[in-house]
Amino acid sequence: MEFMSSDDTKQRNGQADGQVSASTGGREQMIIFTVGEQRYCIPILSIKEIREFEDPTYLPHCPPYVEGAINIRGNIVTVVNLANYLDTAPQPDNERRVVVIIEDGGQRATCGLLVDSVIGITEIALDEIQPISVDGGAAELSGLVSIGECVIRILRLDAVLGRLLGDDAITAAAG
Amino acid sequence: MGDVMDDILKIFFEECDELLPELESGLGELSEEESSKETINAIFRAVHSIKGGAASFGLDRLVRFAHVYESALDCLRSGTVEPDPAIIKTFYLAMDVLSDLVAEARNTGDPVEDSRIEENVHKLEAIIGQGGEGQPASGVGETPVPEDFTPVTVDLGGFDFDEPVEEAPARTLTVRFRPHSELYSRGDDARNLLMGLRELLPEDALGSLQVTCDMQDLPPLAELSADEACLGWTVQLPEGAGGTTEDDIHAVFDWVGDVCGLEIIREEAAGAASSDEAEAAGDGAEELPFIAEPEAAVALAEEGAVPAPEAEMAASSRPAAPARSGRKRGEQNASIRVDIERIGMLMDMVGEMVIGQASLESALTRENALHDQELLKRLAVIKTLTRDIQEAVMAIRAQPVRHVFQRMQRVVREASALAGKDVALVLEGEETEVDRTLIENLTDPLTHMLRNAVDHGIENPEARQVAGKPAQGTIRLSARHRSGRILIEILDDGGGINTQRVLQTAIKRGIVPPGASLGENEINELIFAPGFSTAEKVSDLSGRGVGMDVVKQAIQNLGGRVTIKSMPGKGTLFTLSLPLTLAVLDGMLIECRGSIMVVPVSSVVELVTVRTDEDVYTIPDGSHVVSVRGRCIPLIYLGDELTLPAEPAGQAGSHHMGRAGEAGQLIVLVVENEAGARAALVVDGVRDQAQVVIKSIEKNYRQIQGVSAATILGDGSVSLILDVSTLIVSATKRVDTRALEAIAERAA
Amino acid sequence: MTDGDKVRVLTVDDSRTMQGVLRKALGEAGYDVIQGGDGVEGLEVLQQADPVPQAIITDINMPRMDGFQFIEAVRKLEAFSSIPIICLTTETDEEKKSRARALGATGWIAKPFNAEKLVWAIRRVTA
Repeated sequence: MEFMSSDDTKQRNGQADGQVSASTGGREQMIIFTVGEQRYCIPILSIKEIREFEDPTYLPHCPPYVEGAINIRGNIVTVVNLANYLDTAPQPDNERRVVVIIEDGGQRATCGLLVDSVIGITEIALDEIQPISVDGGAAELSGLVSIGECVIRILRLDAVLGRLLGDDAITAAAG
Repeated sequence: MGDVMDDILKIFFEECDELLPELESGLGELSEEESSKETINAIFRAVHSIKGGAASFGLDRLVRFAHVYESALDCLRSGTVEPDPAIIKTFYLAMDVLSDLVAEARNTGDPVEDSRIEENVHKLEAIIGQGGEGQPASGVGETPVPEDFTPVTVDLGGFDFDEPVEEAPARTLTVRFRPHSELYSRGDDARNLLMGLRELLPEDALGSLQVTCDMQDLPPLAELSADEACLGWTVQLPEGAGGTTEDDIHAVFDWVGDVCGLEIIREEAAGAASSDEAEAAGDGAEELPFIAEPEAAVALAEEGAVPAPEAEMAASSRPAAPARSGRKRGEQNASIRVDIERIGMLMDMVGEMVIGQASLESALTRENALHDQELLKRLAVIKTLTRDIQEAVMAIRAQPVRHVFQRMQRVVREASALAGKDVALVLEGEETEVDRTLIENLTDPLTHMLRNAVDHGIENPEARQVAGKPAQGTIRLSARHRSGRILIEILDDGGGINTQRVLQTAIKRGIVPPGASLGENEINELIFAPGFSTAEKVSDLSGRGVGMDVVKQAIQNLGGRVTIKSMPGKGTLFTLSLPLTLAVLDGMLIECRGSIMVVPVSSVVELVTVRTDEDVYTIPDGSHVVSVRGRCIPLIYLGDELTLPAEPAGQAGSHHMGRAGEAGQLIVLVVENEAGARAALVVDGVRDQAQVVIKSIEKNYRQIQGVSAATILGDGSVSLILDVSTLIVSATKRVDTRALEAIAERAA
Repeated sequence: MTDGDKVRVLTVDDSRTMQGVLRKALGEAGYDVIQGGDGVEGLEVLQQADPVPQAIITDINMPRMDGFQFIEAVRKLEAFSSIPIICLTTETDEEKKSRARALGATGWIAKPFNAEKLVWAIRRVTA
């Protein structure tokens, strides 16, 4: 962190939380995936790799959106079941499920997102992002963007990692 | 710019982390009378460096205190005061303040109270006063702290001109200077002085600068000596209003006061100046009142020509002196500074290699290839090499416990001051090395144990005198290696454990039932029980709310054990036995509902099969206990405890060593925590025993109740390492111990 | 490796903090900075330096080889006998200054210094 220039930091945080400030007028590459019927996207720079879903190790006392832990080159990485996290139904009998491994710049934490399928990459103009009001209960999302007929939701990665690392009230651990 | 300064600030704090322990160990040597000149220098340098660095960041409070501290240490260095115990104590206390001020500046500590600083400053000033240096009063307030890059007036280095202060515009300053040869041999040059004078003038006023070279002393070329200086210069420049002041000129000549003649003359008008110039050029050096030492002036008269350093360089052909000749302290360990992250990476990769090696072995086992002698031999070679590499990396991360041990000096100092006792801490085996992961986690438990030893172990001075002991109590903190572990002992020469009082307290607190008959060791163990404290008055120490149970827990979390031995009237000995590293662990691989999990071998007592109808009891609160060899132990259904999902039907058939063969039987793994409390884990079977590499879960997830960490198995899957201590604690909390006793009686 | 246009300065100080401060201040003023962690290292760096620095800034109080010994050693080396050496020290007493000067120091800067003071000193000897 300390060897990063402040510009770097901004950029990385931008990737990590999926919050892209609308004032920059820049464009950003996003990866689009589906969970259930919906399409979501996250900045491509936050993605470390995409891998096939394999049975993770169950983590005791975990909330329903935690699928378990997997080994990624010697690191223990938690897999988040995005369907449960977003409270939506996953596609049934899906063979194409993959785990998108993301890394957060600020918190330096890594996690896997279990999604139904990865559709592709798109470039979006940051000033075309429609903000979402948080009072609407959409703390998981940072905005919407329309591509053609389709509305794509931008997932807030900092919120996912924040929940995982337990800085919300549902921390199971008591010490 | 801010970023760079932040980086440097970080370096500064890192450096403080190195310097403060150096200071402490230096003071330790002082008190052990091993002090050499070099020790004192090192102590001084540590404070000096902290002060210097702090000044660069305007850390005002730190600078001011360090300055006084440094001045006091300087008396020690110059030998004007002797390091008697009182002075050393003052230095120790000042070190604590300094260390707290560093923490304050770093925002990692509470602000240091002004009264405390003042008190210590007074003590240090008393030392300075003793040394008779007469500088204390000026010391504190005077230290300059840069206010971020404001122009600075340069110190005048001893010139003393009586200049009449009258404001009169449009004057001319005439500067005459005459370098001695020493000026050139110091790497300076008359050219630098001329450039310096030129820079005093604004760009558009350069025209008003007049320079004349005075060559009167220049001998004929044949007599010219390369090493001698014989040129002088006269420079005229306008004074005042945007122009130059005498101070500016003195600043230019600041460094050469002793090796350069200088005269500054102020003149009324340009016309008068020019006549003066002619006179100066004509009369030469003798008439100029040079500000120079008498010897230098004599030397000047005898000196010849040519100032140029080039000539000096060309003329001499002396062989270059060896850079390092006979420097005694030159011998030192060749070492490099390596980022700990890199070693961490190396460690991770070695961990991967261990896993890879294990997976190769498991794959070969599946293929039945292990009957192949040749393959077996090669596998054994790889296995040995892997272990060797692992050990070598461990050795890189190993650090002596010295640093942690030395921090305990302060703990004991503070604790004994609070308790009104006089206690000396003696350190032994500080060189003993353990993995740094362990060292980081050792500080807190040791701190509490030493506070405990001061507070409860060592008696009051009066009580000690009655017992015929020296008034000063002694605590011995030692470390040594034994059979792959590190043993840390804390031995006090106090009164030992008062078993009667401990038992009474335990009964009063409801930890043991009234009338229970316990052996001496069992009573001693009670001080580790949660909620136990024998302090009759709630002192500041015990008021911190940390009991020995927390200490024990912390040690257990490190994979360690604590034992206690009391010698009535003579003292108490606490022994910590810890693994050398937190990076690997000897684990027993158990299976439960299809998951493979790891139990540290150190906590496993035995693996037994029990009958559900004979050995398992349900107690009124609904929990279960099992009777193993006449001892009732809380039963933990591990699958339920850890909320493991039920195993899919039909997969439960595979056979393992120790697998429950028949219905009505349970396989239980009896585990024990450091307090000797036991629990029986109901498992499906035991798979294997292996050394596993410990991986953090909390890096990417939160803490999990009942799980201490994770590891990666030979097949690449993640396996959880069970936190036996918390499992037992939560089970024993559920089970009423009195119910246990009742059942034990029935079972007997 | 080196910037040909820049004036090269060697700084010798055992405090990594001071090294950082010096590197920053001189670097921002456009100097090419090389560094040594004590007198011994300073000499090593000096002898290996190509191009040779045009000025040296050294701390006085250092382990292994202090600033006095360093100045003495540099002055004994033929190739470096005329490099300007500026001592950097918090010692304000005249005795130390004159000792450094007697050994061949060109000038001194009292700590704490600021960037302007530092650059002034370097310009003063490399003009």
